[in-house]
Amino acid sequence: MILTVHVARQLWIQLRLLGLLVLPAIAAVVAVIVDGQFGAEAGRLALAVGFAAAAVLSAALVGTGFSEEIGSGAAAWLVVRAVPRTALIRAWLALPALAVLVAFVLAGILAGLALPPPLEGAPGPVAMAVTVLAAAAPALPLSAAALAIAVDASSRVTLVTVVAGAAILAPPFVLLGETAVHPASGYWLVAGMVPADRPITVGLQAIGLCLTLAALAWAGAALRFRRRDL
Amino acid sequence: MPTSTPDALWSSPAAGRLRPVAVEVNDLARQVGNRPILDGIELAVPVGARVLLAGVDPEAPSLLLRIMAGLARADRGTVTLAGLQRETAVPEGWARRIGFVGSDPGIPRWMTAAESLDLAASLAGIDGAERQREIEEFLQAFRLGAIRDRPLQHSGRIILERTALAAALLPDPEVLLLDEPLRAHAPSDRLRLLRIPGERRTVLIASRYPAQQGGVVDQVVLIRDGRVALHAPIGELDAQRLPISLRGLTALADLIP
Repeated sequence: MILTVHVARQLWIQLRLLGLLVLPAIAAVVAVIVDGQFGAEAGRLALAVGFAAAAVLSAALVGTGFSEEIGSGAAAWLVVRAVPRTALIRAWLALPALAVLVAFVLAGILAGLALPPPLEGAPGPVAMAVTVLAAAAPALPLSAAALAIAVDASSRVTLVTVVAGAAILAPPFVLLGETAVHPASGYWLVAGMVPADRPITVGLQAIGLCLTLAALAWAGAALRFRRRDL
Repeated sequence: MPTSTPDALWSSPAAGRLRPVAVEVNDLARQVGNRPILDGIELAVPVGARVLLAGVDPEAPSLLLRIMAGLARADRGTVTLAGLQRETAVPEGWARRIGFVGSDPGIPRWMTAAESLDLAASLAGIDGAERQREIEEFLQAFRLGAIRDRPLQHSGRIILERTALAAALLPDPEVLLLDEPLRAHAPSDRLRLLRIPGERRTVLIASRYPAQQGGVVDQVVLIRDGRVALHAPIGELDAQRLPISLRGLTALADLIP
């Protein structure tokens, strides 16, 4: 609990928590503006792209924050007081993940109220919830990967690596599109490109994939952090 | 404040005769790149000793202390501090009995002096009224009272170093590890602050400038070729008319078989 409060304060004071909470809302507002200018289809596409960008930037915020924690000696200050390294890096994933989840849910509600539903009809509340969670889920493995990078890299290198890595990963997912379920399938759900009878199945599978990848990436980050000299 | 070792044990004649060991290092080794910085360190420091760690390789003493504190890993060997091993110790027990201050104070700069002491006390399991009393006492003792609620990022390095030392001493640790501490302080202030109170407290100071620790330590350790080449009372230097310097320590190590 002490550690959670400490990380929360650290994120808040560095304005990172604000960034995590606001990014999806910005994506939703942009989508509403695009919808007004270019129509509903463009609006939903903008929302999907905005949510994807928000997930990448959220991961970058987490990674750079952790890198600064290590670089400033603050992580060492905690570790000499017997704070387990695993607990520290877990707090750096769990707390931002909670903030991202809250932010995506709020932004999803905003977008759901403002954007017209797809032509096939309005999705039910369960489908909408799964869609929003599937859109938020990629932030988890991305954040865990960002933590793994941040263990040994400066905040600037972490930022560049996370953004460049996401840019490299994006085209294969775009090519896959809705033809197969993958960790970024949530964005196709947001864009209304998945057949109306499948959103819950596709969304749940995408969430499962993201959670699995996040667990693997976090384990790698924790292992690297345990071996790192502080 | 309750300590981890009962007073009755310490006041017994047996404790005085046995000279219990506070710091025990066995076969500790660490290679950095291809360089074996530590290569089979064996060290036993009795309770209450004030020890200067110097090294022909200036990285060696600092690395040794950081391995002891759990900040760096060892390739092999064991470290026991106040009867505890880091891997198996209860976190609060370790935080209460072992203190460390690095050359970089490391305290999150957005915290105030009072908050950092509060966090250090919390992590050591000190709660309630006792915590508040200790924090106030240490703020005053380290002359941090006037800036207690100001974020440390608005203070200079001297304040950061004093706060770091206060935070390390607040849980009343049995073993205190100081890695090039208080570098921003004037020599007189440095010496005053490094005269750490507590007869039962064992203090290890790693320093690249042994002469600056004169009057603070009662034992010297020299690490050469990754091993302990010398562990002697500081009086030996006087007896051999050698200065407290790396050269003096090296000469003494060559004299003592």
